[in-house]
Amino acid sequence: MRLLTYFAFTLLSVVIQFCVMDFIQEKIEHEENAVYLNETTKGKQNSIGILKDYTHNAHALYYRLNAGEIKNVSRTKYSNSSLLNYPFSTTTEPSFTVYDMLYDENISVADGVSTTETFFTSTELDNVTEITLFENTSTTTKPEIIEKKTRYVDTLCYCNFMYKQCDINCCCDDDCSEEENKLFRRCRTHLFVNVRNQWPRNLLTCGENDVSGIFGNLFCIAKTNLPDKRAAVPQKFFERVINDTFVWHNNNHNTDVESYKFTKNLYRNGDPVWLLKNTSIYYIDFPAPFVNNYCSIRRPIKFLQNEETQCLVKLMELEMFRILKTIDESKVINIANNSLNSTAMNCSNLHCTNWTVIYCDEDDCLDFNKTLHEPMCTASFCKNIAFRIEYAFYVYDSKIVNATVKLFAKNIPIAIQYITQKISVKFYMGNTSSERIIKLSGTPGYITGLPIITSFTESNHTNQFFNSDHQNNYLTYPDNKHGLCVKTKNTKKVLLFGLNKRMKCKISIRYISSSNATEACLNVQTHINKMLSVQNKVYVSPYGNPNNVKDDDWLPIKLKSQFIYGQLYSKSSKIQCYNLQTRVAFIFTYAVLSSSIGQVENKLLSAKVDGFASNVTFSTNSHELSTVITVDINFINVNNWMQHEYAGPPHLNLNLPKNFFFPFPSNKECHSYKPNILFINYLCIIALFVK
Amino acid sequence: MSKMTNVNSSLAYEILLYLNSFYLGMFFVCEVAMGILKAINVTYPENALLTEAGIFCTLCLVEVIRIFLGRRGNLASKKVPVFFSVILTIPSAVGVCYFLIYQTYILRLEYIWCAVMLMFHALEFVFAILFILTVCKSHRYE
Repeated sequence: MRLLTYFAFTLLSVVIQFCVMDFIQEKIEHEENAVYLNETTKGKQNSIGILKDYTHNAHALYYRLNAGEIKNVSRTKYSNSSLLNYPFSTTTEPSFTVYDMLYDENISVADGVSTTETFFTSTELDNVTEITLFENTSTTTKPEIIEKKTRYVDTLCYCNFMYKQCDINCCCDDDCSEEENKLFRRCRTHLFVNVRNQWPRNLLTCGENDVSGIFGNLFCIAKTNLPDKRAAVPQKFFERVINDTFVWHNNNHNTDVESYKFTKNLYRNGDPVWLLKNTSIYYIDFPAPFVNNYCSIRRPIKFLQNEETQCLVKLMELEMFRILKTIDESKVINIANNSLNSTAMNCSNLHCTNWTVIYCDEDDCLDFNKTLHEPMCTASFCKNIAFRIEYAFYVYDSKIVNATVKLFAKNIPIAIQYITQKISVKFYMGNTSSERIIKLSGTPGYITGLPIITSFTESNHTNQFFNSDHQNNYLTYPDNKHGLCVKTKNTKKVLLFGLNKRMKCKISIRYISSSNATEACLNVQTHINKMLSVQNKVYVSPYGNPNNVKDDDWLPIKLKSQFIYGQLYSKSSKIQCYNLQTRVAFIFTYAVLSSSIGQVENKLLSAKVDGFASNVTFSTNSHELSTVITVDINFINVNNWMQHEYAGPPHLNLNLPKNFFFPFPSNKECHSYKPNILFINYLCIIALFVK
Repeated sequence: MSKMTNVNSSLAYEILLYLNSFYLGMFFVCEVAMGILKAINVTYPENALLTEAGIFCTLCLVEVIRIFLGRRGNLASKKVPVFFSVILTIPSAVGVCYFLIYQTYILRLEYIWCAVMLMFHALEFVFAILFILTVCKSHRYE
């Protein structure tokens, strides 16, 4: 009996706790819905109308209420800035407020945190100071103005994102042949974009300001005691590593649930990709996480199924070692029509495809050379360690005609215990190299997370886009590597639609003592402009698919040049540069164009780049001129410009009785005393939960 | 011949132990549930999850023994079991402190229930000492 009571009591406690949490959760959802509904109704307004309304209600962009105040603040703070040179001279122009807020020294990034989500994308190894500001995630989930999409349904294919190339599982793509369409298992309706560079936000990760209900969010992680990953820990395999004796050992705890049997059939969607090693046939697989983030299971690479995974792994268990061995020993096999009746398992009967291995470092990609690119370790670091692996399979006529493995390598300190390895598998229809495929960023409107399409030529922008190398079609800015700005072919950041970011890094330019100060300052500015791809006029496509977009419709952006001059102080070995633009902001305004099922498309309305001129002092002692540059990328949705970011407080709408404030009524009113007490209790309970 | 009377059992101590036994059950269930939630959602360093699970099991075992000895000693007015219960309070409180301060991921909810557990420990410790002192002083001989 006692045991039963005990369990009943425990169960009751747990049930009560979960009920309270459910209540809090419901409240959160309710608040989110309030925003969502508002946005939907406002989304139907056209952007011009909204901008007109805006003059009457200066959007505070989180907390400022008066447009006049904004203007005054900026003027007093930055008399030397280019704030007054806006094409839109009024303070009602959306980007003005953003620019003003971003460059207000009194507003820290933490201010943004209180109203919006802030993502830090710093990796374990790099001292990256990149921040994603004002993440606007609501736009991707709004099922608004569905009736508008009918405008495009008949003519456009929402999953066709590769120009003159068949998109896998996209049945409405004209580039796909009937045979290719037969291979597809299911037809998708739109592109699933994996928005990169965001901190994976899981259920338990909450910010300091994530407070909901009267108890706050109790399931948030309040504190972590994770070990310092940079601390040098003596390695068990230290001796083996420094002797450069990587030996592959069989992983016996392979926990594949599915088992596959080789059959002599043409590849079908979902079949594993088969390899031939001597006379034995097996399928190729890749590591994947299970339950937690460690590489604990292996999954087969399946025909026509793109995969992307990342997991933590020990240095010795990196996938690259297995791949290098696999590539040496095996070939990808295809069943050809003439081999269906043959019993022998060799490359004379089967269609064999050799592997192509490409080694990529931070600068460039080259063919893998075993003597040059093989991984090796010294006492302090390991070089040529591939932390990212990309498989690319090119399919033609149900056969894999090309199998390419790209190894993205870097040097890492030997003290690091675990490495995050990323593995992606991509299938392409046809034999065109993935480097040459022209990828669109929308159909036709931009989709969040895809690159902004840019033209660096003066005319024929659309033709240029479809005929040039895709490397030149996007706006890029430097990546932060250990605090330094790096921009190479492989190490750079692409400006992606809809992702607001701030990035800071340090540039260094060699100082030639023979040059005068003004010349040195101009050199610095030229280098900054080159890093940010704004040395010349740049044109941005208003749509993610620039097909049929006229030259006049492309949006020009150009950094306004400042009068830069320098002064050399020989005694203190310093150069003072005046009006140097070290802070640059890319500001885009866009409107929701239409929405297909589960996918919102957007049109860019305006684009501009603004620089903030300041006076910078350089020391010439080290023969290097170095300064920190800041890049801000801001996307402003004019559709919900008038919207509150969060729902307002709930309205209880209670009508109190006249005698509510008289707890001791006359005898005549004694009958209403008891209900009043009950009413007060009721109010207290409501206030506690609704607070 | 001497005979000790059984009139020294502490009601407050008994109430605390009685409530603590229920609270331990809730603590155990919720902590296991939170452990599963954390194991699914966040990444633990190597062996950290196993270590924490081991510490937690030990803590629960020690708590059960501590409460059992405390109640037995209190009801029978015997100081030896209560003395051992007091001794076991130390590792038990250390275990709870581990979950309050040093475990890998600490949830806000865990702050609350670990603090409540420590409060139980502190009160029981005080009442157990008072009980032992009472028993030692009140030996009457007939």
